[in-house]
Amino acid sequence: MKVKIIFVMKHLVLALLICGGLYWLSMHRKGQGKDIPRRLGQFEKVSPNIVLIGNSVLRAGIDETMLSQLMNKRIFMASSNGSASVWWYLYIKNVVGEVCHKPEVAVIFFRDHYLTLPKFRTEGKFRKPLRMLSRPQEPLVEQLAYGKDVVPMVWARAEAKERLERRILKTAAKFVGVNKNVASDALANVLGESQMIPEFVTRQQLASEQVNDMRDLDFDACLSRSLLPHMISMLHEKGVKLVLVRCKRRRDTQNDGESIAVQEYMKQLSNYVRANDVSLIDFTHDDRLTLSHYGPGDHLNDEGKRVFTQMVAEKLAML
Amino acid sequence: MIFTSTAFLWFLSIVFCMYWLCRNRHCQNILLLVASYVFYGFVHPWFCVLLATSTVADYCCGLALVMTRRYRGVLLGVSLCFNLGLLGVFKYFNFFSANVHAALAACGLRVDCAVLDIVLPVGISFYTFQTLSYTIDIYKGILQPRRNFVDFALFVSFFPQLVAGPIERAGHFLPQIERERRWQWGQFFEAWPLLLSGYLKKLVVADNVAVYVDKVFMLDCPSLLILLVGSMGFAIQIFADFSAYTDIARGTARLLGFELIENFNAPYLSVSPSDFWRRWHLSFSSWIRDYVYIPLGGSQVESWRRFVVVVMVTMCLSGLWHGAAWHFVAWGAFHGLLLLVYHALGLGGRWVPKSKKTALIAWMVMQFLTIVGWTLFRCPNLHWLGQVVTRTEWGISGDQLVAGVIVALTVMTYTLPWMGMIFLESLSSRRYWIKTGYRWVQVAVIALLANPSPQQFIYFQF
Repeated sequence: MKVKIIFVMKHLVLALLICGGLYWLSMHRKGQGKDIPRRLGQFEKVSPNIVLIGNSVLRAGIDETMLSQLMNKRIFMASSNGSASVWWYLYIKNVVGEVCHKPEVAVIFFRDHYLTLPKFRTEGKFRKPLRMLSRPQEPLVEQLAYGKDVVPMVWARAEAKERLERRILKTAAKFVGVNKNVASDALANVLGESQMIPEFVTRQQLASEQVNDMRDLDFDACLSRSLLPHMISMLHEKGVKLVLVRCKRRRDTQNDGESIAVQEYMKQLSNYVRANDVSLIDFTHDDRLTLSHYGPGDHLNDEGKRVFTQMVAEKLAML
Repeated sequence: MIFTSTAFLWFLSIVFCMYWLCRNRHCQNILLLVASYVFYGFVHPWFCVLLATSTVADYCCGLALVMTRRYRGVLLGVSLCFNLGLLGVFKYFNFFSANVHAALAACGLRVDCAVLDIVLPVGISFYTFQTLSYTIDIYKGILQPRRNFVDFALFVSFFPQLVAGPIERAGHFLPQIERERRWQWGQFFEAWPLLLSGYLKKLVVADNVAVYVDKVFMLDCPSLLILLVGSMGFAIQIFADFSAYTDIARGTARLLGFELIENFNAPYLSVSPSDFWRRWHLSFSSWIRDYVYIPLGGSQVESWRRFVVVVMVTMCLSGLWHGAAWHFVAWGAFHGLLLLVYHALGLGGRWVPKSKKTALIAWMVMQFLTIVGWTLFRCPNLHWLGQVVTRTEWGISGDQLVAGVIVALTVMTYTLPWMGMIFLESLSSRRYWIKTGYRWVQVAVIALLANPSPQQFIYFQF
């Protein structure tokens, strides 16, 4: 009996050590809010009339200077690669909501149903930009996007993986006798998206974004769990008009139509935003963008960028 | 349902508790059968219809084979046609249709290409082979058909090994289903190292290495250095991924009182192609040997030409089994060619190097050839590989070298916890607490370094 108790106790001690270590690691969130002052500064410096918020699809799709000239307004583009609704919410809350200057319009560029999917792209490499744009307490994000129960472990994981990969990069750079920035650039040059076959990138992207759960397309159910109502109310309070732009995806140029579930979702989103004094522009069925305008994945090429910027300028001018 | 999902952990916990609450093996088997169908049909319930149809067909064929002497050949033919027909329709139809279409187009004939827009039922290749072996063994007289339908259905659908093996033989697995099973703590202590090692290999090694491997094989024209590093990464990824599945399957089965066969025996220590196939995916390679190679006359061929035909047919079929694409066939053919060349050089069969130096050289050559093989296996298509080989830069530019070193180092780093595990497993059983301590470290490593976006097991697509 005594042997068994000692056996169990030893396992318990080991378990406590491991769990304690994980919890300790999770408490060290390096760089929390580090990006906010820089973003605030950039915003104040431009003092834009229109702020565009989105991810790499926005970066690849809109020519800031051209749009500014076409609309005769100051435009500011706030984007983070791979970002989704949580990053957009944090940007509105911690940057747009806190600057002295008030823009006239905030435009969010989104795809499909990701606007009401707060858990989308919040883990792994996507966690760092979120952490850097977060205040020490972000209860809404923790509750809706991260899920409180797994937070410690997920934070610890994001930290550990980030540190490990940074260390690997440094070691590799030292090994070949270059500095880490050169190493980082080399990696981007050789394995960057621009070096890949667009068709393969698109296939992989679609595979990773497959809607496995039809509940994600149930607008009413998703709305209460999403950050969209909070984004709308924050911008309303500040007196900023919100415009939602649904971008056309590469696959929309090849598909005959959308599924009934997606159509229904868009109809409900449209009704909801209309009731809340928000404009919705849907470019999914706009024939001016064709397959030849796309680069890898949903990113537009230079010609696509020019066409899309014109399309956006036209629509925004009509509002 | 996949092993790395939270749903599976809940599912296993519930099944485990209910299973051991059943005192009678009949109840346990019925519970496991229901659980297996829930597991299989979790995302696509219609998969269960296929599984059930295959089960009923082979159960009936098995019984009919001993009831009649006259139509035994016909019954075996029916079973073969049915099982291979299922595979043909659900796995290979689009492949053959596209190829026939291309061939006709090359002859100047224009016809519409028929395409089946259906999801490939996961694990169809595995359970089809399992049921086929049952019928063939009865036909050969080395197995008695089972009258208890539940027992047989459980043999076909046992959820830990249903979707990616190991491909169990009826002679090994059915007796386990038919015996009484009682809970023993020893089962838990055998199962948890297997489960841990499985999750570590899948979530930390395979899924993290896959990020870089996928990038390499999506490049328009990678240099040879990058392709080599990517292929080495894939060699690690596929072994980690597949052996992880086997470990989790074996661990889960152990928790339920079953013993599944081992699928791997250090394949990357092989010194020849024959040696490799005695170490890699053992349940499949022994199946192919027993039900394709030997029936084709491979063990008793008299002429060299016939031997070449038998080996190449066997290996091309094993390549095709992995996937409906030409690069899988090319991978099989490549291994067939290696077997023939090694055989011609007197290094085939049970050849063992005589000295350490020979062993080292043989090992290095074999590893290089294995990696070349994996390049064929992983490439998106043969056209891409052809383009890469003909267009690629042979020299190494600065950026390529730096990127290659970073990728290689990343792959090696993620592999380290696995290496540590292999080293500790080799220690004597007296070092129990060192091993146990490391297993808890494994828990931490999984928690910290698991890829947050787990990928499907590679062998699911086969």
